[in-house]
Amino acid sequence: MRRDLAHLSDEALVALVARGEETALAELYDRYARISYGLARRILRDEALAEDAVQEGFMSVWRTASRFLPERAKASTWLLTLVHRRAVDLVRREDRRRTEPIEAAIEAHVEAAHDVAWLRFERERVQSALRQLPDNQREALELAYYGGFTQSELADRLGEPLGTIKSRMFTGLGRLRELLTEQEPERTEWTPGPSTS
Amino acid sequence: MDPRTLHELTAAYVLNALDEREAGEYEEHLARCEQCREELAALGRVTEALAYGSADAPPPPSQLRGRILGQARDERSKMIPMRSRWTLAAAGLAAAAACAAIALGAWAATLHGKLQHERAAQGNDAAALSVLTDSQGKRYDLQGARGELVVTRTGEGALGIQGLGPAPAGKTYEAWVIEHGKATSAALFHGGEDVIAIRLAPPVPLGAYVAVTREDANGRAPAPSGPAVFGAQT
Repeated sequence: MRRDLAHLSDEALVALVARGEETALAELYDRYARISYGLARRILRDEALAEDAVQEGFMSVWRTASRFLPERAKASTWLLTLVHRRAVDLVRREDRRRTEPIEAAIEAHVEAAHDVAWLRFERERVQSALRQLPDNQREALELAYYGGFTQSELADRLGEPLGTIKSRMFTGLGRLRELLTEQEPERTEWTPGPSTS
Repeated sequence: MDPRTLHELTAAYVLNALDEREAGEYEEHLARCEQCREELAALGRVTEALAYGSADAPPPPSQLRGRILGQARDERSKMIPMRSRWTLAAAGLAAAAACAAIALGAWAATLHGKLQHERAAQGNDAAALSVLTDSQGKRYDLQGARGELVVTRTGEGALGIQGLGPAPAGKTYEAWVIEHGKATSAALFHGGEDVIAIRLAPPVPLGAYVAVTREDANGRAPAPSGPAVFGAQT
C-alpha cells in the first residue's frame, strides 16, 4: 500500500505502526532518525554502536507500538525515550561511559552545513537553558542523561549521598522545564499544577 | 520502598538513570500513582528537549534506514498473524510451533508457549476454534484487549483473546451481544490463560456490539452491570 503519510501526526503514525504498517515506521524514521542518531552518538561516542542503538530503538517502536498510550506522552517523547534507553543499555554493557566534561568531548564535525536549521535552533535553546542551571545540577543531569550513569553510580563517582544526587536531578529537571518554557512564548501558560496535556 | 521515596524517583526514571530493580519498583508505583504519572509526562517533555540538546551530529548513514525497515519486515513475516495462529492451534501443529521457535529464537519462544496453550484450549472449545479459523468469517479487532471477534457468514460468533488476566476474586467475565439497546448474555469465562477461545451463544448480527464486562461469579447477571472491559463493533 502506498500513500503519503507526511500529513499524519506522530501519534497517528504510531497507531499505524501498531498495525504493522511498515511505511509508517519509515515515516517516523525519516522524522526522528537524525535526532536519535545524534543522541546515541553522544552517549556512545562510537558510530557503529550509535547505529545499533538507533536500530534497536526503532525495533522497540515496531514491537511495542500497540502499548503506546497517547494520553501518557507525546509519541516523539516515547520514541526518543526508547532510543535513549537502548543507547544507555549499550553504554552500560560496553562500559564506555566517560567522566570528562561533556562539552570538551563534543567534536566539531564538518557536516554542520547539513544541519537542519531548526535542529540547530533547538540545540542552542536547550544548551543555553542548561548553561543557566547551577553547575552541580547540570552535571547530574548531563552525566545521567548523556553519560548513562545510574543515580547510584553517580553518587559513588561524585562522592555524594544518593539523596543529594536524586534531589539535584529532580530540581535540575524542574528548573530546566521552567527555563525552556520561559523561552517559548506560546507555552507560558504553564503553571505548577496538574498537567492538562 | 516507601511511597515518598518512590515518588522522588520520577526524575531519575525519566532520565533512564535507575538500575533494573529500581525501575521495576518505580513502574509498579507508577501504576498506582496518578500524581507521578502527571509528573512523568511533564518531565518527559524536558528529557525530549535534552535529546535535542545533543543534536550536533551528522545524519545517520543512509543504509541504516534500509536495515531497520528490513528487520521490521522480517520480524513481521515471522510473527505469525493471529488468524494463522488459530489455524495452527486448530490443527495442533506442534511441529510447526517447534520449528518456528527454533528458527526465530527468543522472539518466538514466547509464541511457542502460546501455541502450546492454544492446543490446550482446543480441547475445551473446539466450536470456538472452528469459528475463529473460518476463512470466510469477518474479523474485528477487539478494543481494550488483544484479540479479535470473528463472525461467520451464518452469524456464529467467537472471541479469541490473548493475555487476558484472571477475573478478580468473586467475579467472572461475561460476554454480551448488544443490539438495538438490548444485551443478550453470550458466554461466561475466566481469564488468566494466555489464549482464550470463546464461542458466543447467540448469533451476532451485523451492526451488533460485542462487549465483555466483569460480573459477580454467582449466577448470570440479567444485564451488564458495569462498563465494558473490552469489546468490538461489528
